[in-house]
Amino acid sequence: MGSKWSKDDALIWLSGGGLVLGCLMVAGLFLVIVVHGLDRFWPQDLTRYTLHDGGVVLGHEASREDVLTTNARGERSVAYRLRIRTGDRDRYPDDYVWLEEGRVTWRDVPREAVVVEQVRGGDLFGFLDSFVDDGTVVALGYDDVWALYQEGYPELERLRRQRSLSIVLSSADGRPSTISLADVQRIYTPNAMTAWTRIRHYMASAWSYLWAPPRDENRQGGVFPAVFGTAAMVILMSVVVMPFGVLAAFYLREYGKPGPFLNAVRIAVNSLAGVPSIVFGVFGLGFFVYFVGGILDRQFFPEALPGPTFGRGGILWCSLTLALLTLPVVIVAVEEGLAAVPSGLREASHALGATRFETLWRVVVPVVLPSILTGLILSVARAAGTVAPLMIAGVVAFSADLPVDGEWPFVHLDREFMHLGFHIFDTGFRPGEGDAALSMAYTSTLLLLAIVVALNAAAIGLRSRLRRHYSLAAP
Amino acid sequence: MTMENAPFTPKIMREETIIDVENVSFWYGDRAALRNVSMAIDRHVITAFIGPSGCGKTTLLRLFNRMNDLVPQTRMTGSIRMNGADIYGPDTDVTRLRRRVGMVFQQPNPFPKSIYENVAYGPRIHGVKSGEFLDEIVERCLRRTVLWDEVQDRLEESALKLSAGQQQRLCIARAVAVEPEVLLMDEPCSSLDPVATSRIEELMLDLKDDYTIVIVTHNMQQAARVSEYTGFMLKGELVEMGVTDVMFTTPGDRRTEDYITGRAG
Repeated sequence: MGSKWSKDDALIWLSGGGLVLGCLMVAGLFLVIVVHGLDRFWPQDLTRYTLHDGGVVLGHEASREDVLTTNARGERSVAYRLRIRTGDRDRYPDDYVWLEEGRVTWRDVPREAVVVEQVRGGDLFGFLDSFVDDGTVVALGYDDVWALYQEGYPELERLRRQRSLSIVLSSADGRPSTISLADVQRIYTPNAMTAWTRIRHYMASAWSYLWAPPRDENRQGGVFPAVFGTAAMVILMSVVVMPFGVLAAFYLREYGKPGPFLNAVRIAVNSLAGVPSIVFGVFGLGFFVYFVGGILDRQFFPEALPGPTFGRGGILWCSLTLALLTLPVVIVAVEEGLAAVPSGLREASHALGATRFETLWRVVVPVVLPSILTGLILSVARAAGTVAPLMIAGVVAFSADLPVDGEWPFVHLDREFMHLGFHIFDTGFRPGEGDAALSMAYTSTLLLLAIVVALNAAAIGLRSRLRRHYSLAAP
Repeated sequence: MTMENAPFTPKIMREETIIDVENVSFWYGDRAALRNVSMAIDRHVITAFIGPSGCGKTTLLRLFNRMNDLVPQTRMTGSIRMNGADIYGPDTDVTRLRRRVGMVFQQPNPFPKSIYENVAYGPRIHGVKSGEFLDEIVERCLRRTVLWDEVQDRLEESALKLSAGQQQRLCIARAVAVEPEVLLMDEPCSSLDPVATSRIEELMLDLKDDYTIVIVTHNMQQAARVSEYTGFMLKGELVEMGVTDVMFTTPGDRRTEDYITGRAG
């Protein structure tokens, strides 16, 4: 048997196993993000838990865990502990309560339970009690209030803005609270929803997530400014890095004389690729923001001093910092492409009387175009996923303004901006807040992944089309 | 025999000489590739250079259109004149020289562009802009290289889809498109099958009325079949050069005889 297990077989199994392990890990990562990211918008049933001691809790089960208990006689047994999402952050600071399963005597799914999404302050779960217009009760009881809310009250929008409309919501244990309709984002009744209305609700939530600005310190609402900011920054970065990177690679490979100088430049480029990204952030802050920004402010915006215009973090400085970060990626990709251009093509062109520039422009550039695109893809993917240097150079967790808007001069390179990566960091890691914002982080992660995958897929498609067009091997 | 000390440097100098090589030596770094080569190449005939690998025949060929300029750290002494003008002189425009001295390489190397664009490349860089005129040039050159009937319906297809033999003929058409006086061919058939090889040879015989052809080959039969004059090179020296038939029947030098009869090389 030993002879059958040659070294070759062992190596194949080892490398294959490594590949499978890697694939499983990536698949697991995707699965976790997709599952957590997608269920944020799904309207979950609200369950009413009635307890031994007469307490009532309304919410949905987020997770359960085993607890070992020891009773009076010293016998050990396993019980469950339920983690119930209750909403109402004012009352339950973590948004959650823990219930030992043994304490629950009754559970039901009341049809009329509602979720009230507040503009800020999170969700409230409860039962509609009454609809109040300027102190006058105009509807009483679930059916009437819900009908009135859904069908619209005369002049609902105007009255809502005037804060004269409010609803009274009673919590599961009967505590009433009055909420002005101006503070309500929407109300829905998850338990009464059919599958179709659930899907519609899901779609509407996902849509508003993509296109709405954030609310409630990024816990609620959408991420449009973050997506926009990320895209704007990456585009600006590409515009800066591509010409520099491509020209540098052409110099290194085509014009520069091989020797100690070129070797030194190559070593420097490769070292640049290995520098931790936070170091670029520090450099960006010191050089771009304070030094260059300071000069710009003194020269062009003296009237605003001592208030900084360009002398503080902004999208321009972030883009330049990331351009530096991704420069080696572009240079290496393009250089490799140039090295792969067969020398026969260059010679053929020269032999026809073409100058060096004509040869480069008409023969070499079309052939390296796929490599240039590869450099662009890699640098965009790197830039879209890099957050650390941006935190120093101008990204903010929340910004009311987009870097591009209708206000002259339309493109505001000095503005701070929101970034999807930083949004994830901001919502995912809030000390002392439980995980109220965590599901937002998962959803944003999913979105960021989707954007990066889509970008890569588009670019790979483009590249393979170009490759087919300029392919060097006969098909 | 004191052959080493007094190298035999044959020279055919006649009215119709187009390239005149005088006492040329060439080095790659410290390594000498050519030693005191002198000879002349006639207009409108095919001249072949044979010899074992590394004998310097390709280096010599690449001196005629200054392709060796692209190789770093090389050095040349002596002179090469074309139509009487020193091509290594200070007022030589290298791109104009290369336009007059076309080259076909060992590996077919069409550009990864369409068949049409391959032929049109040279005229385009030399300033031909008119589409009609380009169409005319492309058709004329493809007809000249007997490729037109095979490719006329797919001029816009990639040249890389052609067979190796067709690609090599396309490279010849591409070289012919800039209307050179001399065509240099560096082992043009070494990567082709016998059928494709014989088509290239036919083409060369057909082209020699209009162009002066200089071919480098290891294939002695090829040299015998196509060329009027043959030069035999060994270790950077031009051992002997003369009329092909004479060279292959009664070589004047012992080393040539050894090589031709397969005893050396």
